[in-house]
Amino acid sequence: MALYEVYSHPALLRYRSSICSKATLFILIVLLLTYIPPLLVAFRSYGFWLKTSTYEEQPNVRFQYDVLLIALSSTTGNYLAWSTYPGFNNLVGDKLRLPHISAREEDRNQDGKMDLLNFQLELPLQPTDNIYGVQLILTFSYQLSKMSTFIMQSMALIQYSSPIPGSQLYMNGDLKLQQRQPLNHRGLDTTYNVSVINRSSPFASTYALTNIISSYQERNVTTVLNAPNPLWIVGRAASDPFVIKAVIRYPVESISYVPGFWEMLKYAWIQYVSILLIFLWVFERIKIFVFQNQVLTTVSGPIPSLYKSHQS
Amino acid sequence: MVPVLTVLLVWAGGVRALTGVGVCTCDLSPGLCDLNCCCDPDCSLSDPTTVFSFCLPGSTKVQRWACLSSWLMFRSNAPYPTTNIAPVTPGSPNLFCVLPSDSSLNYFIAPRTVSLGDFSALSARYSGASFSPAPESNPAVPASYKAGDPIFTISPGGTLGQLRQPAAVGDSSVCSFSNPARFLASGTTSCLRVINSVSGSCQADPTLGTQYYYRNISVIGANPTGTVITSQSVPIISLVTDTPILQGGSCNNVVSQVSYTVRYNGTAGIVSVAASFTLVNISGTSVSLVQSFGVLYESVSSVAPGTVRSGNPGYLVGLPVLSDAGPLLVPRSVGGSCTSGPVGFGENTLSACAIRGTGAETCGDLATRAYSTLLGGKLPQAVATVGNTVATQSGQWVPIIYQNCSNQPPGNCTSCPVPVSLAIHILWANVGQLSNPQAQVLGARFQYRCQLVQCQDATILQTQVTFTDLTQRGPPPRSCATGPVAPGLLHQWTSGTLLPLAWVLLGYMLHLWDG
Repeated sequence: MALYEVYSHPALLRYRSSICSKATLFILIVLLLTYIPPLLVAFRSYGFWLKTSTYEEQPNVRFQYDVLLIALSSTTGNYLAWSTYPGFNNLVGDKLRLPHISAREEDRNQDGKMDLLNFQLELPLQPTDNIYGVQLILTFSYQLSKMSTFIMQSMALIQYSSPIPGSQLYMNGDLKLQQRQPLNHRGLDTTYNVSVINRSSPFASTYALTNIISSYQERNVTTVLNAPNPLWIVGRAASDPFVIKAVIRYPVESISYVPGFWEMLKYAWIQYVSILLIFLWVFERIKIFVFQNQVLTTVSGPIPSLYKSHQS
Repeated sequence: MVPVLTVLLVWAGGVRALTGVGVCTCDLSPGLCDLNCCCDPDCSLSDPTTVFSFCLPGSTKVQRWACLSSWLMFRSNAPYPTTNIAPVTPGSPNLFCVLPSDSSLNYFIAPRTVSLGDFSALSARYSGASFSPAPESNPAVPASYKAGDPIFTISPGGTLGQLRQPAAVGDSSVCSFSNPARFLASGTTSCLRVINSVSGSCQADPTLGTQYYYRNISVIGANPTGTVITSQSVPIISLVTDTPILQGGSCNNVVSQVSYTVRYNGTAGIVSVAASFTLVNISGTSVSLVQSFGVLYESVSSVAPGTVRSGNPGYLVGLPVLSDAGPLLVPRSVGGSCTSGPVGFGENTLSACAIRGTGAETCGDLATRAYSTLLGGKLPQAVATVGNTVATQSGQWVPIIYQNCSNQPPGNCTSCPVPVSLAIHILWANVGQLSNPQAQVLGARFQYRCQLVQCQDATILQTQVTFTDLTQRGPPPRSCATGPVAPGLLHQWTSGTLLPLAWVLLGYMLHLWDG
């Protein structure tokens, strides 16, 4: 009847030596060579400490219902304007036109976060008026909550101009997040939770677009409207208003962040241990070779008898 | 691996659908059959799919089935309705579906009643931002002005107003006359006026005349009592009282520049306001006029305004480089003629303008004029090393190294050696503490290049300014060490980021030792 190996286990061999001996020195050196070089290899091959990482989240964006509109009504610099800022409306004086605005935010997948904004603005015009260009600022509150709670007030600038007077501007695009530095992995960040435009200011410098844009771009985290295909529709009946239709979507963003301590340690540990395993295996072979062949003098214990282990 | 599917099944058509839909959202015209509305009882169709090309969303029964491949499930003893669905596409597995009757998936909750008492509380809890006309509060005259406050004025009739400093609004350069001046913020704004009809606007447009800017305007100096009294106000004084006059096709005495000088006495408020004007004559059919408006604040105790430093002590970027002949200048071309503008510290500049010999000018005259024009009309001999240099301090000047053209024989006007290019090269360095470096000029070289030109031709004179930083930097800060590996690694060890891992390793080794 043929036999097969039904079970096996390794036998433990003990090699004894005094503390001041070559064998002790050898073991110490091997110990150092086993555990330190994997660390150096992992460290020197870069990426040992995870510096930044990314995650995906749909931001909680809400339209703040602050609007600033400048419509260029001549090629020589004249304009029509309106905003929800009383200070700005005072400044523009007789260039103020009162539009009809409707805005509606939609939550398409019913997850409690808005997915897009439908915005429509009808600017009434005199029969002699022509619109050659539009600058429109819409403000949003932008909130991320998956890793760190990040709250900011951001804006979207819609800008278009054409040599041909238009009747309608149609924009359909995404409100994209732009990061110059990674976010934190936890905590509350309200650095940029300040208004893009100071509501209560009566001064013209507050509403100068160069000032608004320059202070906004100083921020490390901003939003920008990415609408690659604006449509300028021409041909307007004398009594018709100029219409701006915008669909602004709030897409899922890939957000970069600085990983926390344990996440850094986890990835470092994975790298270290995977290299360490190779070193352990190699030095285990070397040690077995050295002690089995008595390259270094040691007193080796007898192979313990499996059947008489309780004797002596 | 077979994915567990959750699909939304639409039961299209049939009497089943008609009866299954309790609410028919597309039945919008009562008594009439709505197009593609499969649940409209007015259509009285037994099978709407024979008539309509499709059914509108909401007009057919929608159920949320939870499905998975039927081979995974042998028997269901769940209390929910189940069904087996044949594959839609051949090859895909049969689906076994369960209809969960989860009440949380529905809106079948009695809506709460809203009364006058809890309306605001409910609305505040759930509503977000919306169009909200902010109540415009009437501006109150403060007891004493703070920096940046608007300055209030009062008319003889008692109407409150604000001192205006017209400025451009938005991204347009067209003037807005409503911009208030800010207390203690001295500055000049300029903006564009487009006058379509000079003859029509000349006397009709008040903003073209001087009176608009001072007449019947009294500035409220301070308001300590809280009630504005006309006697507390100071009238705006103007020495210019000319008004626009239309003469022929030209409009004379049009305001192009307004300068207010406001003198204040600490918190006691504004003591006096004076307006001065620059007037121009405009003519033509349609004119673009740039008007500038300056407000200068002076304390009653201040001495006469002195020179402005370019830094204290080190130069600040963008401020004029000082020479013994005033700020260092480069030529600028404005409207076809040569003017000059200052050189900003640290800004590499290229500017040019063209000159042309006049009839009486000899070659030597032209060359002299070119030398002068290239330096904006002055010939400085030394450059101040720091931005707060005073002319009397001798140690703070470095002489300019001039490299003129090699001596050429004085030519005649058909072949005249004229300097056409000046290369200004300024060497500077940061000195002092690393945390607060001060920029200091170390040397300046002015190098001319000449060319033979004809006197009567236009000659382009070009000045370029180059700044070179000679700062000797110390060893880089340790956090961004790019040197040898060992210090960086050591630093990592000591900085504590690696320390926890070392502890973990140590613990592991001790554990082995015990074992």
